[in-house]
Amino acid sequence: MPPDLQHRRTHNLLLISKLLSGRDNGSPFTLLLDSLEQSARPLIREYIRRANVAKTRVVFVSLETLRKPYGADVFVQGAELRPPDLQKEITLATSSSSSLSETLLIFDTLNALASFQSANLPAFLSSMISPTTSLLAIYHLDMALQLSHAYPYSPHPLTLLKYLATTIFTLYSTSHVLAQRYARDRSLAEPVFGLAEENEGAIAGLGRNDPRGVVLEMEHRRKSGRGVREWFFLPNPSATSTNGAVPSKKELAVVLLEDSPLFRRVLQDGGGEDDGAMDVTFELGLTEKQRRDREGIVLPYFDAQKGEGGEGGRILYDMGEEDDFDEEEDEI
Amino acid sequence: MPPSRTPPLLQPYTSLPAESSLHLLTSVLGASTNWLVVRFLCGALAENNAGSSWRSAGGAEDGGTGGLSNHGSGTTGQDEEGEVAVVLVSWMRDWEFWKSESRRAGGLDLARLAQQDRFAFVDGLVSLFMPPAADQISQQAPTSTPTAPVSSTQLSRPSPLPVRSGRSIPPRSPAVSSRHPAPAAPSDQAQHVSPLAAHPANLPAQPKGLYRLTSPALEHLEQVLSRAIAGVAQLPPGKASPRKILLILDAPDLHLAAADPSSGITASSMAISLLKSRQRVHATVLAVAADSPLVSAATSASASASTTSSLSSTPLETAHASFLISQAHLADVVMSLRLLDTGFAADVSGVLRITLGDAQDDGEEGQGLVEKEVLYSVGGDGGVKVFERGAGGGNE
Repeated sequence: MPPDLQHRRTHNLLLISKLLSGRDNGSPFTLLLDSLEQSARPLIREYIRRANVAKTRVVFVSLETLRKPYGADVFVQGAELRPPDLQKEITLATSSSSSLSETLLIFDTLNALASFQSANLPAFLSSMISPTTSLLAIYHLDMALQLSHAYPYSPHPLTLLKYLATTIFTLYSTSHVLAQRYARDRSLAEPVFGLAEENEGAIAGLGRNDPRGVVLEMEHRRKSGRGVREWFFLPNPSATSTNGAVPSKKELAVVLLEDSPLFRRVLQDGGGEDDGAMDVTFELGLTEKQRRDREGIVLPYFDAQKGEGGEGGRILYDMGEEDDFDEEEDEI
Repeated sequence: MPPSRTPPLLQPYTSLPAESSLHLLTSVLGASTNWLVVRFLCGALAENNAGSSWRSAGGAEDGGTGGLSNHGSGTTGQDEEGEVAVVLVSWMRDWEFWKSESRRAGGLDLARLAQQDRFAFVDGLVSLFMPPAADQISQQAPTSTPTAPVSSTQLSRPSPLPVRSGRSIPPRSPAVSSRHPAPAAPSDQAQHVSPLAAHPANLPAQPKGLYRLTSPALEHLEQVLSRAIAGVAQLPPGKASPRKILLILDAPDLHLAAADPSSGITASSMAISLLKSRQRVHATVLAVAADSPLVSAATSASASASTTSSLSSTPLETAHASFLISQAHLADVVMSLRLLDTGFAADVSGVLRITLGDAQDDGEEGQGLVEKEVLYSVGGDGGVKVFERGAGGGNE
C-alpha cells in the first residue's frame, strides 16, 4: 500500500470526524449541497447524533420541515417568519443555552431565505455564528430561485454561500456514484439521473436516496486558506442494522469512498444491479481461492529470466521427446 | 363491486399514507394524475365505505337530513382504528368531475361521504377570481382586500356550488356564453352573481362539505382549508379517536401560475402556506404537473448551478419549478407519471415511477415501500392495470 494513501486516509478521516463532531469549532459554517437525488438528511442525522453524544445543544430551524427531527433540542418554526423576526427567534433560542457550551444551529434549507430579496443572506448567517455556535445549512442545488428584484450584477446567492462556507459537503446517491464509476471504468457514457435525464415527467431518478448510505464530496477550507478535498462514504446506520447483524462501531464509521466495501466491490466485478454485460450460463469470474491460486503460479518465462538464459537474444529451447531434430534448421 | 379497484401493485402506495407524510404525484400532458388521485381517495375512504355502504343500504335514500342516522349506522360496524376523512382541493377540475370520476373508477359515492362529514371538496377552479358573491360591496379591486369580507360571507353562506349546474343564466347579451364568468368585467360579475346570492336561502338541501375559493390570496386559501378541515375533523358520535384527515391538493400549480406574483404569491409563500396546512392534517397528497417546460428552470439550475440560470427562464417557469422541486425535496414518496419513452402503445398509457424520499427519522414507516418503475394502462371504464415492464398486462 502506498504510504501516500495511508497518510491521506489517516489525515482525512481524522478531519471529517472532527468536522462531523464539531470539535474545536472545526468549521463555523458548513454548507450541505443536496439535490433530489440525494437528500442531506442522513448527514444531518449523523451530525445530530454526534452532537447528542457530545452534549452539544442542537437548534433546528425549520423553514420547510414539518416535524422536529429526532435528537434536536430546540425546534424553531421559521417558515412564516420574516428574516428579522427569524433572526430574533434564533438568537433567543441560541442564547438561552447557558448550561451547554456549544450549539449546533441547523437550517433545513437556505433556498427560501435566499429568494427573499430583503434578506441579506451573508450578513444574516454571519450574525448567527459565534465561537460557540456553528452553523449547518442545507441548500438544494436543483431549486431555481425566484429572484424577482435581484440586482443584475449581484452574484447568485449560491456563489456567496460557497464563498462564505468553511466546509462544503456535496451529497450524491451511492447507487448513482457506483453506476457512474462502473461506466467510467468501461469507457461507457456515464448514466445521468433525475432531472438530468431530461426525460419529460421524470423528476427523480431511480436509486435516489440510497438506503445504504451517502457519498459525500468534502471541500474544507483551513484557516490558512488551503483547501482539502476528499470523497467519503457515510453508511446508513439503519440500513446496516436491518440486515440482522448488530452494527459494530466500525461499520458505522465514515470511510474514504475508495475504501468502502460497496465501492471496492464495484471496482472488482461491477455494480450489483446492472451486471448485465455478460449473460452466460457458466461462471466467468473467479472465486477468491482461484484468484489466489492463480496468482501463486509462477509462469515459465519468469523462471527463464533467472539463471543463465536469455542474454543476447538467444532463444532457449528444450527438446521434447516428440520433437524431431531438424539438421537443416539453423540456429537451434 | 369488486373489493378494491386499486391494482395490487399499487396498493401499498395508495393506501392511507403514514402520519405527516407528503406524497407528490407529478403528471405530464397526456399522463394525468386523476386516476391516481382517485386511487388515493379509494385508499383512504374505500374500506370503511365498503362496510357502511351495505350496512346502511336500506337507509341510504334519506338523503340530506339522514346524515346523522347514516352516520350512526356506518360507525357501528367500523373497525376501531379510526375513520379517515378526505379534504380534496382541486384547482383543475370541478366537483362534478371528481364525483363522477370517483364513482366510475373508484366506486365511491363522494356526495354521500360528504353528507357523512367524511369528505370535503374545495373548488379552486370555478370562482377563484370572482369576488365573493353575497357581499354587495365595492366592485372595484375585489381581490386586493379580500380576506375580511370573504371570510364573513363564506362563513355565513353555505356554498352555492351545486346551484351552478341548475341555475338559469339571466337574459343577457349573447356574447357571454361562458359558464365560468371569471374574466368578466366587474359590472358583469355583479349581475352574474346576484342570482347566486339570492338562491341559497331557498335551496332545499344544502350539500355539506363543499367549499370554493373565491380569491387567490393565500390567507383565503388557508381559511377555506381550515374550515374544510374543521368540517370533517369533528368527532364522530360514539367514537373516541378523531378522524385522520388526508389532504389532497390537485394542481396547486394552477394557483401559482394564475395568481399575480406581485401580490406576494410566490413559490416559497405557497410552500409555507402548504406547510401550515400540513400541520393540521394526518397526511398530504399533492398532484403537480411536471412537463418539461415547467421544470426546465430547475434543470438548468442543477446543470449549471450557476448565476445566470434564472435569467433565461420566465417567472412562471421559475416559480413552477421552484415549487415543484421544493415539494419533491420534502416528499416521502414521489410518484411520477410520464408517457412511454418509445411512443404510443395501445395497451400502455404510460410509465409510473415511484421513488422514495429520505427515510424518516422515526423508523417504521416506509417499510415495504420500495422504489419501482411500472407501466400502467387506464381503461375506458376507468379501471387501471399496473404491471411491470414485460409483464404484458397479465397482472391486473
